[in-house]
Amino acid sequence: MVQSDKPFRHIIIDDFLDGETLRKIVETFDSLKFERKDSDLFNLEQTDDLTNTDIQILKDVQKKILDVSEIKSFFEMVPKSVDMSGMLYKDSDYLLCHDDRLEGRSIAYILYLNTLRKEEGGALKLINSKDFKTEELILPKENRLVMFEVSEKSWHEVSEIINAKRKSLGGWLHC
Amino acid sequence: LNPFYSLDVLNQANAVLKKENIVELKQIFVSGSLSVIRTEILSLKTKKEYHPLKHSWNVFEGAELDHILDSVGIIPALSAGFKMKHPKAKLYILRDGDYSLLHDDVSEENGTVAFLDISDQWNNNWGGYLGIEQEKFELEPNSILITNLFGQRFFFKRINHHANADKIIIIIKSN
Repeated sequence: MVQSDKPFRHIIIDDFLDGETLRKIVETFDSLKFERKDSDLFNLEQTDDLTNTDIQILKDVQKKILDVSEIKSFFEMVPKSVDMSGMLYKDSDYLLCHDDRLEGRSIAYILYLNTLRKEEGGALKLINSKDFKTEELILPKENRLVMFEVSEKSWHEVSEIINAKRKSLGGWLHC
Repeated sequence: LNPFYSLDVLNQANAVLKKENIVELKQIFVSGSLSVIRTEILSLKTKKEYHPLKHSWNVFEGAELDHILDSVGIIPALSAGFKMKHPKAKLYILRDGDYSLLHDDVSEENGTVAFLDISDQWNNNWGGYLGIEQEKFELEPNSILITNLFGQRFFFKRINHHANADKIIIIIKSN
């Protein structure tokens, strides 16, 4: 477990799900329908909003995310709800620098469903809002949960994928 | 300039521009002369501009560029054919990882703007398309796209790791 305030408050929890839940969630992810999103800021594939899904395993994971004890102990927030969608990055996909700020978003989260080597890209870069330099690089690792506080400082980006796929579930906690 | 683009043809193109707000002229330079013009333009000393929330590119702006475009017939064609007043040019070179975003300061324009593509070669799978709000325009090397913008914003799609050439664009607008 990593907890840090730099460049903004975030945590990294490895081995978040038990093996059986992880296996089921990866299987479910692979059966989801994705739509390609293309804008000035990103290139990626995304599912519809899974917040009100009737897929039980996704509901279970949402509950487990809401129950992360560090939301209260580290972020000092009380979550009311969580939203979720699946994100699939393929070769040359990316997400440029942005801060995630939108009304109601308190904490962003990403649950990685596969592991990528550094040279395959897909890393989450946490960027210092003063000099816009990358202060922390978080590699996608299967079963790793990353959470960070959404604020005027929470600038981040996802580096371009190089001949690989990056699978994750993500969204925001509303506190 | 390709002799096909006589004043008559340019006037016809201007009529299209007035009606459709956009017109694209292909093979703007005769075969062989594009590489000579490109070499001359690329001898200008460009400057890297990087602001993660706006753009990443190399640029050049100055009388030398306007002079080259004047001597090869681009500026006279835009003045005579499209009634652009005192056209002024800026060179943009985008390489692997470069981009511009919609909320870039330079991207909101009013009036006639021309995008001259002098790239050596381009594959649209490399990114680099011109986005005007939600519309996507895949500029071809040796073409010029002329459009009337009414406060619309534009961006250049991020260039991905497959690109093995530079996207070389000159934006010309009335001064």
